[in-house]
Amino acid sequence: MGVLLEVNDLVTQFRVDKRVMINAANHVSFTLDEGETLAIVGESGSGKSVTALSVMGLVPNPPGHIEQGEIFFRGVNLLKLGSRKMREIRGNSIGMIFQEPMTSLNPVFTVGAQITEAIRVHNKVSKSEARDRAIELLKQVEIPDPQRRMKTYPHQMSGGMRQRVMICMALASNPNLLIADEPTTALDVTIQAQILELIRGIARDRDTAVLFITHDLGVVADIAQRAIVMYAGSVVEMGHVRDLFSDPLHPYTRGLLQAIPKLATPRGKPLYTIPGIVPDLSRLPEGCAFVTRCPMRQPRCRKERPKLRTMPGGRQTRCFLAEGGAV
Amino acid sequence: MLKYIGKRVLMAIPVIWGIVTIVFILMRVFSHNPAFLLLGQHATADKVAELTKYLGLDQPIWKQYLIYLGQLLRGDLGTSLFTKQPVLREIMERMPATIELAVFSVIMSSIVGVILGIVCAVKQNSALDRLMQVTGLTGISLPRFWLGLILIIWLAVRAKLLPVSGRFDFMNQPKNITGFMLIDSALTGNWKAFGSTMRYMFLPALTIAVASIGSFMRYTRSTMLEVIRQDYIRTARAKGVPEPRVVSRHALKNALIPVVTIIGMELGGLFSGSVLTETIFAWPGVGQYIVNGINNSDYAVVQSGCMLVAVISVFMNLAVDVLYGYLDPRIRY
Repeated sequence: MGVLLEVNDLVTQFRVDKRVMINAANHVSFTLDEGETLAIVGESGSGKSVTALSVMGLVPNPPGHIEQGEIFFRGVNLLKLGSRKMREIRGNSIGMIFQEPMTSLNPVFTVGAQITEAIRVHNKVSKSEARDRAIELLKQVEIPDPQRRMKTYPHQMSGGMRQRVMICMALASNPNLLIADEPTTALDVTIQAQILELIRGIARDRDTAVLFITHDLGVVADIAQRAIVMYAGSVVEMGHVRDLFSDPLHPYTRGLLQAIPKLATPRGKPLYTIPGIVPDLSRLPEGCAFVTRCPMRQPRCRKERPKLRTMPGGRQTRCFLAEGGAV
Repeated sequence: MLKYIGKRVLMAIPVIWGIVTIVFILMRVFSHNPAFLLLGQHATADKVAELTKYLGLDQPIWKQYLIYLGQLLRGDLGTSLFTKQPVLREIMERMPATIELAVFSVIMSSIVGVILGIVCAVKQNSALDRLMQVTGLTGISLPRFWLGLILIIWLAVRAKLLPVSGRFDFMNQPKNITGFMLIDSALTGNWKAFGSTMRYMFLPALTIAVASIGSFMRYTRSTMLEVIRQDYIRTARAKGVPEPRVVSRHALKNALIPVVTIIGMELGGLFSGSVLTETIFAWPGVGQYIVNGINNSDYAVVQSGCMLVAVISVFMNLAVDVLYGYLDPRIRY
């Protein structure tokens, strides 16, 4: 299978103050194959959403802008496209769903109007054809009684239902790539499982590639083949999900895995946490960004920034420990 | 919906009753016996007593109040002490002039104000935006009586582009059907009168609009800026909706909800007569009528005028709320 999306050395900056610029995405590179599901994992502020928005060309400007890099989608550099061409790709060959289903739908239009709009923006079809297709899509995302649902407003639906509508709109033009930015974070656990199953089904049945952004490693194991771990704007580790879980290379990944609560954890025992907090992006340490929280730091880590290094088997990690093999 | 409107109309009754009562009390507390005023300083005590009795002002205050309420319930707003005409009829005769001016200036200012507001929001913090903000604020701050006079001097007296004052030209007067001159002249196909009426209306309407444009523009701008940051706007962009459509459809319909309130309130205020503007331009409307009533201590006119202002405010509020329900589906009554 060919490469669908290739991000090279992407730097997306945000202005936080008159004189202060931060690199919200800091030299991010990765590829995504056709039909593959790739997860980006990280804490809030790690740059995962910014990376996704950069691909969509939706970085809010001001305060943000893409400083450098290339984003190839089916061989075309999206960053070189004019706004018109980019608009033809958005919602057409790349669909996106967001974290907040409660606020992501326009409150003053019916669900039907919003779905048919997504269809008609990219396809020359009549209103009634668009309507039929919208009903068909609602069926595919397993919304009961789709005819009636077309006429309802977002506020009349539950969070899970709204997220299904969002997915339905993202699928309106049969995209090759679906970007899901924490689509289950705002939902309760049972609904979360249903939405995950739905996205997995879409990836499988339509052969749609999915870029799945989450802070939940448990979800990653469920849905993705490969995963990227991001920290403070940079990729710190990338690899197959099984390798990542069984043999994490970066101390940060290891910390994240340890922080997942397990059923076997005895009652009353405090859950594991990574000490410290995410560094302020405007005052990153000189060396490794993780140095202040790393349990395995060495003197070298304070002075020198480790490079992202490709290991045998195609895994990548940004840690000096991986070089010496002294993990 | 109908039930909601019905309920609101019923709720308006105690409000109006309260206002009627307050106005009644204030009139009794703060004004002299109008019989003196009517008869002049040389009137004899006998004459004054006679007129006082005729007007019912010798009755105890509670009795006057009950008589007043009884008359109101029968739709009798009293008789003007000066013209000896029923006040209701006089107000009704003047209402079209006021409504026509109000609607014309609000249409003018809401179209211009909302469009400028959108432009400012889209070009936020640009030189154009800043210039518009300052201009708008200046417009809001200019006193209307002053602006009206300046416009008369510049556009009517010096440039002779428009008539100085009044509502129509005797040579070009449409046949009276509805009392609304623009409608009447259009109905009768008298386009000359239509044009003439527009010319007469333009200066007073502009005087009112300058301030309204400023406030509608600033309000639209700030609500647009708030709406444009919402998640659903990002969704619309993610769908590939063209930017002009994102602004004019997805953002504007949400942003207009609060703007409609401001426009409705403005219209309500103008319906009860823009007192200063009507006085300056000798516009034969309700505002001018109320001012004359105050100058003449014309009980019935002032009482009815205040009541009119209150009733119109109550019903404009209701109209705005009903419109809300139409614009915002989350509000259903």
